[in-house]
Amino acid sequence: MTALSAPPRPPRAATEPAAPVIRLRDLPPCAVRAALGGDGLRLSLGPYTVNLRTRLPELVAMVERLYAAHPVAPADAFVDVEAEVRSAAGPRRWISPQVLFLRDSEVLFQPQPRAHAPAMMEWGLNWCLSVGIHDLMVLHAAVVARPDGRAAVMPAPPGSGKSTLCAGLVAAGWRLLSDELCLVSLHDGALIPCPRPLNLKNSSIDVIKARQPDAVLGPEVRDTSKGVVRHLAPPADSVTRAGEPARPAWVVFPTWAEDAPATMTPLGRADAFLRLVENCFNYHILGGAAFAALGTLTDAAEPCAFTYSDLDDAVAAFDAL
Amino acid sequence: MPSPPSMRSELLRLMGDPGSAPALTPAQWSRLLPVARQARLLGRLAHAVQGAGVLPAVPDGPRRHLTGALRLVAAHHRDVRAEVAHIMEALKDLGAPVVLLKGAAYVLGDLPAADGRLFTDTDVMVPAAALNRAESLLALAGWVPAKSDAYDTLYYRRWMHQVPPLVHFRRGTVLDLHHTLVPPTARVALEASHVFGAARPLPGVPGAWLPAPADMVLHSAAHLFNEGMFNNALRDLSDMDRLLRHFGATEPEFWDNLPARARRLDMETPLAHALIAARSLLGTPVPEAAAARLMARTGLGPRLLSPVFDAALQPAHPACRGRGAAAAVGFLYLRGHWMRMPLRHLVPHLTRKAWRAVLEGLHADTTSQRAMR
Repeated sequence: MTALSAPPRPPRAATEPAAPVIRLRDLPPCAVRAALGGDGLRLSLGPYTVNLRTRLPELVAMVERLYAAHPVAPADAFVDVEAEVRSAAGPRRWISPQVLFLRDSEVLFQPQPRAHAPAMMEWGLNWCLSVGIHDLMVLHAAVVARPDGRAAVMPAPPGSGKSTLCAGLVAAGWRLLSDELCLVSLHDGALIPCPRPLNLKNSSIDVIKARQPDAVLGPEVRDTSKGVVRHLAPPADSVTRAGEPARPAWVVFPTWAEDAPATMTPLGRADAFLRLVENCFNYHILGGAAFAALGTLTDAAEPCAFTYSDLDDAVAAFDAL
Repeated sequence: MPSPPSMRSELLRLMGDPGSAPALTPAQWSRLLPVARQARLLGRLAHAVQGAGVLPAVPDGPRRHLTGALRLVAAHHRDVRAEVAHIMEALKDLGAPVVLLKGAAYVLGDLPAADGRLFTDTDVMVPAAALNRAESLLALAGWVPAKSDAYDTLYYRRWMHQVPPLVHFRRGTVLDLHHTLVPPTARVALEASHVFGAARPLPGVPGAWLPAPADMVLHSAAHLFNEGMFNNALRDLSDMDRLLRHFGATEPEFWDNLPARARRLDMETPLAHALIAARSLLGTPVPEAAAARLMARTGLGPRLLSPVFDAALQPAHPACRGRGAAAAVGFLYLRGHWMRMPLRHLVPHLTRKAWRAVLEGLHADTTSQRAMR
């Protein structure tokens, strides 16, 4: 079995047009399943290439649905992350089966119940891309951009309504760079897109379903440490434009509060800097480089705190930025 | 698929000739980097490639992993230096020498074995007579015993060469406080006072000492070849290779003294294992006279066991570790316990551990809920 990938590109002159991008939806489902169950499916996730392996049928179906617009990397492409989700061996698989997430064939995390496999795959990939490489500064933040390329970075702890707000903005035409991992270039402070499925939790699942009846959703996962989790496919246009970095224009710290009117409050730059440090996955590793990059970010972007309850009002407030 | 040993040889070849890094294809890098990472040698590979001046010529994809590894190494080294400063501050009134061990000694001693190395904890050794006082002083400064059950605590206190690992309550850093280099129950008659007697003061850090060069090598050899923990085996062997090359070039009469020192500390067998493996895998230059003197005393044992160690020195990656390697690691784990304690202690201990593993398996359902935050 060979890895499923686009054919190797022949050497070509610089003037020749680039080879056409092959996307997962261009491939027959049996080929996707065969690759995932064999040597792996090479997905381009923003700047990184992940070789993903799994034989779990629910995950194969989820990848086909939620990663349909993602490019499949050519066979000669470099692989950043070897990832696999598989059933745990042992007699307990007949009683209460568990799944494992592996990077480079090494088991990361405790085994999870089989029913949590979809959430585990996405969280495992988040881990690999956020603390596994260290070539970029990684913030725990959603990033969305306007058509003119100006972007809003939204760092927030879980439960602050970040993912819901992100999904609402994306449905209203903002481009998705990421709903979880804000990748920042250490050279020029540009925001590097890594669009992947959006992680909806608990009541936000129904909110988004009501607003977008045609939303493409992954399987429902109950009783995780974060409650009910469901993933929403990213807009195809955002995935197609994953190669276009954006400029940070706003850093918005969102808070959802019942019955609160949508309110943007300007925030001091020093305050924003410190709150960004708390949301930086690799600040302590990058050291001075992260300090400088956060300085550039807080200089370039206007920091504000944002409180909201109604998603329509929130989108209007962002459009008015 | 390449045959099992070839990925390890490919990694070691590249580390020995880092100037050839730009010639690798992206597909070769894709296979090599996971193996380097599993062998805990990615940082050292990156350091070698950077040292050869060819890092900018490595393609973007693999280069970001090498650059990232260098950043991680730099952060770990910063942390180790800071941690040692905290430890020395806490122990400044101990009135006894504090000897830095393993990685901390390599970094603070500016030794080549620190290059590209990552850390999980800090190891220091104080004389047994000062152990209680050291624990009290460290507790006052925030180091408390890591969560462990009564059996673990008893096991460490009664049979081990260190107290149970200490964790700093605020920083979460782990400190291993030793009073000797090997477990007192081990089949090695090591006198800790010899190690303290030969230690050298660490310039610029009052109260801190480094083991004598030969003792650093012997400690590393005993740790790897007697204790049976092969998680970082190739990295540990690479540390020894770098220590041997460095001390062989900088310490007068290092190779003349090493076999005698091994005899004095009852560590001739682990040293023989280390020299055989380092020579064959890493090309470590071992003078014939020193090797002959050592092997004359250890007999055939180390040579007979060397294929087992060679298999266990495979990186923990499926491209490297076949069934033979798994069997070798299992055998050496048992051998490590056999070396560490007499049978009358070993049997109850392993029974207890096996029983606990069964109980933990039964409880896995509840604990797995807490796994991923």
